Amino acid sequence: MTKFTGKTWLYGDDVSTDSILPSKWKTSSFDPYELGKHAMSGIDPEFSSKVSAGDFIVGGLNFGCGSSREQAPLALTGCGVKIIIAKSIARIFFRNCINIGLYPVEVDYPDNYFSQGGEVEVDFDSSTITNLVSGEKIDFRPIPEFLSKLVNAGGLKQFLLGGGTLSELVSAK
Amino acid sequence: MPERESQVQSHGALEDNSLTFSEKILTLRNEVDSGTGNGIAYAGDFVITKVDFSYVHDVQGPLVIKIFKELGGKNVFDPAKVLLNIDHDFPSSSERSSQLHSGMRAFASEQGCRIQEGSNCHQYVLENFIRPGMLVVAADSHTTTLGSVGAFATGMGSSDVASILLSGMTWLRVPETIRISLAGKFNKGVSAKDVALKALGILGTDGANYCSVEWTGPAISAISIDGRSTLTNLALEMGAKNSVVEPDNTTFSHLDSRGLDHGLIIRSGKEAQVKKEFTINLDELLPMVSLPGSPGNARPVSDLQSGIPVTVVLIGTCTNGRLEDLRAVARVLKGKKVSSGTRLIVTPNSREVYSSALKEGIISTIIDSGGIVTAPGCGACAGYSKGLIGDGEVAVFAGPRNFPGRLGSLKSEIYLASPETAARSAVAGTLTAE
Ligand code: SF4
Repeated sequence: MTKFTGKTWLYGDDVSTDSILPSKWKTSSFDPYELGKHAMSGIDPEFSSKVSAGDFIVGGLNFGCGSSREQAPLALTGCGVKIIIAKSIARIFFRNCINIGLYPVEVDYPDNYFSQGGEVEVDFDSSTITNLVSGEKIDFRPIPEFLSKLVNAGGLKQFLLGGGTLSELVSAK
Repeated sequence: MPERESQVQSHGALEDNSLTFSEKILTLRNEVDSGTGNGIAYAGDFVITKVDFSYVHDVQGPLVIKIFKELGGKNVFDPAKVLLNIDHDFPSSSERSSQLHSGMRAFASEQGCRIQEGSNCHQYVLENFIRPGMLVVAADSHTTTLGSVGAFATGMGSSDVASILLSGMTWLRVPETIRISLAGKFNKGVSAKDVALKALGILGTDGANYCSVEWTGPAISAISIDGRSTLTNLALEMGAKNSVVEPDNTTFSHLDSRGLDHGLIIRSGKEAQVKKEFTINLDELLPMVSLPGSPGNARPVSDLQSGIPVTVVLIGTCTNGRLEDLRAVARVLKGKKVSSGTRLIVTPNSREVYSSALKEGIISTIIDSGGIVTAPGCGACAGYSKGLIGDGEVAVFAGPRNFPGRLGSLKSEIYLASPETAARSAVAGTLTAE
């Protein structure tokens, strides 16, 4: 399954991990579902009650900047979020997403391309996003193949438990 | 490593003037064929490397341990190269934290690795372990700090670090380089923090995303290891993967005074391709501040309207809790009082800094002025107790970042500034560098 359809939740530039999972919740649990109850609460306190499984987050520049806490992307998976779309994604957050099986999509999208709650389709085979309301299509940069391998496995832990090794990853880059 | 080193030296990577610091060290440390044919790991290539040192703190550590066990981990790759560090919530402010700390202590004793409680992790390892040319990966974003002594140091999340504890290895993409050159002399009241905020204003919070930030230029020799550590620490807020200052006599005296050897000195090639290069002229640099919301909102304090009332001043963290920072604070506070509507909270970032500050009389100067000094570590920056701020408060923070809610309430405003500006603001009760 390389096509995903879902609703989009729009946020701006520089959404930090302090907004995605505020400090006071960061060690409250290791359970993504429990963490998910507080997802995005630093910027959108109602998020966890509005979001449905399979929805996408759309950020602007530098999504996920700040702390390295893996609990932040975990909280998003706990709400059933599958894909993060942003103009750019901060380095550690990007790596954390891959490592827990959450798809990071970096794309320079035009203003007003996405709408709050609008349906879009993300197609990893053709590296395109289609706005299902307007029908408009945009291309995104695919991630290196070895990272796809990791994220498709469900993350680093699943990849390693499935017998994968680091050297096989990098030589397959 | 010595074998590998001589191999690479034989094709001259260390002397190659066209390679950056990061290209050199990752060429030297690459365990797989980088595919370029000549063995050189250029920016954009992927490498697999051994890790010389790794550490976790009490926010990510417990999750790292959990993943390590789920991966079937029995023994860490090398107990001498692993540190468990309790600093984010120490002494513990809740039963939950205490339980997590107990889990870390149990893991350390079962694995025979080091555990440290009280000092901030980055400062503690700088004081005790880090040498030029080391490759360090830790479960915290500000691991970039350790480049201040010429190490390649970067932060990762829990899954990555769990797999490092297991194998002692990780994959890295060789970063492009941004070179920031410092020229001129510091004006009075201006310090490394102002330089970093100035650079943040130029690059923004993603201007160095995925990059290595090299701090260089004629003025760098006048900046101490404490000041350099502020620069490499804040490179993270520009998005950097790592940040580095080339070792010099200042580095060597720091290492000598701590009984650490000089490691491997890697000099960034002067002819190397860099993504961006600019100079900050210290002669023109004024005290800086980042407006609430993002460290990138930087401008000179003098651009702001005067008289912004400040309810709380926090000084410390892995950015600004070092001895030089506290000395600057004490110089401002000596014989003065903190303004009655403002509270001043100072958190030294390590036990060693705390102890030195005590001997130098800095702690009593702060207390006598009406401020308070907390236990060392992360303090309010970690978002737990001791110093968190409430709705409607305005904070001046000599720390790393001012994203909404960083110090507690989402309905508060945080201005980032240097320790000196923060101390002046505490005395005035308003945001000021005078
Ligand atoms: S002082 Fe703040 S930024 Fe530094 S490690 Fe601690 S919580 Fe993180």
